[in-house]
Amino acid sequence: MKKKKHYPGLIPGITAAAAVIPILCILLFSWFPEEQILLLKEAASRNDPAGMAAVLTDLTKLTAEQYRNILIASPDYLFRFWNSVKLVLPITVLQMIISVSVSYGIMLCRKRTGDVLLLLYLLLMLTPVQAAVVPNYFAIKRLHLLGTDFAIWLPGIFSPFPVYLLTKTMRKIPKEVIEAARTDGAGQWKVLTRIVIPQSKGPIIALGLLVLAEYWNMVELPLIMYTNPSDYPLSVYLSRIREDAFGLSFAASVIYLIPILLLVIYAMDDLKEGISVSSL
Amino acid sequence: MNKRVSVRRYIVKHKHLTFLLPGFLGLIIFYFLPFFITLRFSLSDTAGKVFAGLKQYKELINSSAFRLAAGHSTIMALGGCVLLIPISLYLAFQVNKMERFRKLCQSLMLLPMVIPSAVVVVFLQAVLPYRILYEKSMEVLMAVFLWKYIGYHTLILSESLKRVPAELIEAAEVEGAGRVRIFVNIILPFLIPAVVFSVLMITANSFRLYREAYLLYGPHPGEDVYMISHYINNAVQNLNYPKMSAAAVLTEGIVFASLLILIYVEKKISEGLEG
Repeated sequence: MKKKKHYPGLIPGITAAAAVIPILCILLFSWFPEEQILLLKEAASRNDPAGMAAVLTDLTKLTAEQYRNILIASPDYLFRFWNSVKLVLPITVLQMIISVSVSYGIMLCRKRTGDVLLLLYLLLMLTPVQAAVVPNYFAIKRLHLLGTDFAIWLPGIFSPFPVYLLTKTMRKIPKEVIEAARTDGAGQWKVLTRIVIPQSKGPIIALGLLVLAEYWNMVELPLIMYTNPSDYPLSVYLSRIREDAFGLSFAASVIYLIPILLLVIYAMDDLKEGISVSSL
Repeated sequence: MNKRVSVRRYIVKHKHLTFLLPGFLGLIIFYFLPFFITLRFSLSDTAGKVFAGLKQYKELINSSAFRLAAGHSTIMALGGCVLLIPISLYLAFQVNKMERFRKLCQSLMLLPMVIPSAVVVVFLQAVLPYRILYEKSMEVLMAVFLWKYIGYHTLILSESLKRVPAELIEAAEVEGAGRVRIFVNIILPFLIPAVVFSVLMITANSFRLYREAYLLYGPHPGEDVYMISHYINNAVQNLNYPKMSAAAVLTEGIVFASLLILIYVEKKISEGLEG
């Protein structure tokens, strides 16, 4: 009898390829000139895979035209890029600092109180984005901050998203380690900075990355908070340049995508560890 | 005097509460207090001034637009669970059997999770024919959903599969238990917490599909993908506070109720397994 050969890596390999192919395509398309992109789109709408392949394999056409146009000819784009950075970085940093502090506080609470708080933060984490944005809108409106950057910053900074997962991770630190430090005279602050943060470094980095990716990609918040569409960050604006200059949108996408992509690749091990630790 | 001493002692004893303070203050100002404003608007009449009881909710339930939106949001959440969890579970089994390239595969599968929606949309518009993009919009969104989160759920499930003791499975195999029985009686109990966590995350993330839907089809898509988020966002743009408030409260209520039931059931099951 012939034994059937098994390739356990086959299906995961195909899935992994399917996961990265769109990303590689975007990187590739950004080096094509505008007319090539339009040809590709035309072939796609004719439902003509052979035509698409012909356009894609025509490597003689490769050029940096898109990048030149986006970086030099339209300063507006770069301005928006930095504007997005300005919105997202403070949110990520402060949200993580506050969440680590709150999670540590919950960890120190008595078991029962902690459990109740944890359930509350679980529900907050699972709130549908659009439903959470409505109370945010009323708060910002009362504070007369609609249309300003604070309308994005404040709800973002105080977003309770990472607390549930962080607390779950912190609770896994052995009680004895903390007790030992306390009997040696370490205060709560020292326990936090010397034991709890180093022990949950992976999850903190992972959640920080996910928070960064979430706000780099925000759509609901700016749509509601900014009254003037010209204030929209890249996450919404990118779909608007497409309409008049479709050929540029790939270079624009790459510049928008690269920072978060590189960060995630750089911190991939922490991300994986953090996801698996915090979910179990 | 005495009172002051006891206050000070209370503060010293509950020093850990200071760690909670900044987060709680922000939560109260930007989430809890305005939630009560939301609740109040949802109970008022259309002008937003007079108390009108459940009028807004009745109108919502009777409105065909809201029902359409609620139906689509439910399909996205349930469809996401039904598709993502079995596929991820299958992939998790396969990934755990891999000897080479396992880490690479898992890393690559995680990447789509951080790709911004706007970039996904640019890609789809370049390669998909109009016919598919605009006539099969629900399928397109579901495909994006799978593409984005399959790596995340495969990782969670494969980590939880690793916690099944190999001796248990071997012992069962020796005793002649079939693959189905091994899966149901030995592996599944270990998987339940991870599966429940996956269901929770899929439900929450299914609402994020609004981003792709909005960037692809704008604020008023065809009937195929009109979701709760469109409904709420359009009510905000029209400054219809009572309508948007009632829709937000109702959505939150339904989502929370179903998730709490799920969490409760999971607790009961795991207690039953241990006991």
